[in-house]
Amino acid sequence: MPASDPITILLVDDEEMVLTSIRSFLAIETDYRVSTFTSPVKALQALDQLNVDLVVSDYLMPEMDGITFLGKVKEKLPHVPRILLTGYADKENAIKAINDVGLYQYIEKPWNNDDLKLIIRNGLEKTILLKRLEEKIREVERAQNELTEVQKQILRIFA
Amino acid sequence: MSEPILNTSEEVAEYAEACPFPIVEFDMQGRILLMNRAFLELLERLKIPREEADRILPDGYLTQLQPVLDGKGAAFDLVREIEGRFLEFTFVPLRAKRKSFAIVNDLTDQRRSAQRLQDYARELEQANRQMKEAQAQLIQSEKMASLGQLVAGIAHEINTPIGSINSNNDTLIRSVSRMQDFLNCAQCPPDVRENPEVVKIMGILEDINRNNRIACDRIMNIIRSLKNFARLDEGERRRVDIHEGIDSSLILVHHQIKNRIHVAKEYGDLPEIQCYPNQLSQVFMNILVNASQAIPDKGTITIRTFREGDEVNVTISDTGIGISKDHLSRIFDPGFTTKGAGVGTGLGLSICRKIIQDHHGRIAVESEVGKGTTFTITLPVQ
Repeated sequence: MPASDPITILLVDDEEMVLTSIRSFLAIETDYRVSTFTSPVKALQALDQLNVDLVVSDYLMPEMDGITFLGKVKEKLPHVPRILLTGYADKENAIKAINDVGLYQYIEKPWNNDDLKLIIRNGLEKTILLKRLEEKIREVERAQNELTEVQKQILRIFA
Repeated sequence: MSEPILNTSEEVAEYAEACPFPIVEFDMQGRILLMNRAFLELLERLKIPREEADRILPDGYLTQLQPVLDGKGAAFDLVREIEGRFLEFTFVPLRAKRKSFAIVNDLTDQRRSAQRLQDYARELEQANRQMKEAQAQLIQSEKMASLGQLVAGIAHEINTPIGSINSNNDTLIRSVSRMQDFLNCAQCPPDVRENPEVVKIMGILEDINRNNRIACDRIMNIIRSLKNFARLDEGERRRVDIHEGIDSSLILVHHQIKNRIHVAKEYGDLPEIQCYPNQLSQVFMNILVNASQAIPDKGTITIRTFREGDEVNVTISDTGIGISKDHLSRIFDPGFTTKGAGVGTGLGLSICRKIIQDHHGRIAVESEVGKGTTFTITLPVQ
């Protein structure tokens, strides 16, 4: 990914203190741009303008639970990895959601910063790899098209 | 007032014959002189032939009767058991005629009812005691259930802020370390780096952060214990060899045991039991940690397992300092600890008891100060 285009992480938790904690940690440890929302509804509205690379969401929120929110994110941006931040009591739901909504990972509160960083980095690598794969596929398709074109020309010459 | 009517002896004999109480008359040689109808019926009931009627009279009655006939003392009672019946004899002396008669009262039924009454009383007492115990257990389990809910709620509420503080603390440590890197680098003017105020503040920041980390870890540890306490239903029910659970718990407490404590395993032949292995491991671990902490220097922990009918028993004994009587009755109470702030949460054994009760088992403790403590866990095979 080019340096001019920073990686954007979308962070949603109804508790401002959690947003501040994670934002501060990522600020000192990474170059990611971090957009934070206490409202999942507002986060969804802003999704189009943000060019998000990865989404982290709390599970229990008054407006909309994290699994529903991440499900809606998947509809809009299917390739963006989604991470659920859960309290201990929601663990079973989180595991269920990994299958149902296709979560990349879940992190339990209280979380470990190094784990969080690693999970985000691995998630991003997955997107980066996917993006690269898409590029390669496009390149191959292009090459294939060129080849087909050349093949046609050759056939025309020999015809 | 008219003169009292004196009955003729014929009439008296008639009364004696009709009297529903057995009456027997005898002389001072113990020879039977007269028996009324009731007495003959009594002999029949006792299957004693008429010729042997004197057998019915209690031992030594003549010796007792002698002084009475001589004018020393009055009528007296003797009780004897014969052929399973309790008979009360009231001896009445006839001084003038140097003979005596006895009225017999069959106390058997009375005695039996008294016995039965006593039995009923005992049964009632026992039932009452059982009910009281059941009530205490019910109160205890209800207490535990509501405590479980309370604990779950508290743990959940604390989780988010402590998660935030923990993360912030980590970020602060990283930030201070970055700051230190900057102060140490070449671009940083030496007068800034060596400025006493800067040096002092950096020192305080590092100290406080270290301190916060310890405090945070401790809080999170407590929350983890509380979560375990409240979420005992987690995990899978399986058939397992509980020796494996004990052995894995031993591995986990190895750092407390090391070369200090000898562990003697006396494993019996046990069937696999239906249980939540994670929970049982937690129980073994808890008791093993306590045992190792009870041994101040060197000592032995003995783990014995054996089967008894449809139950398996695990006893874990230590040669530690023991538990005093007044503590012993409270060790399963939630929140009771003697380990001092920060070492124990006082939840360990109450969690153990809850786990064992959930398995329909029992946990008991015996201890002697200065000798050691033994925990006995009994679990049903099914």
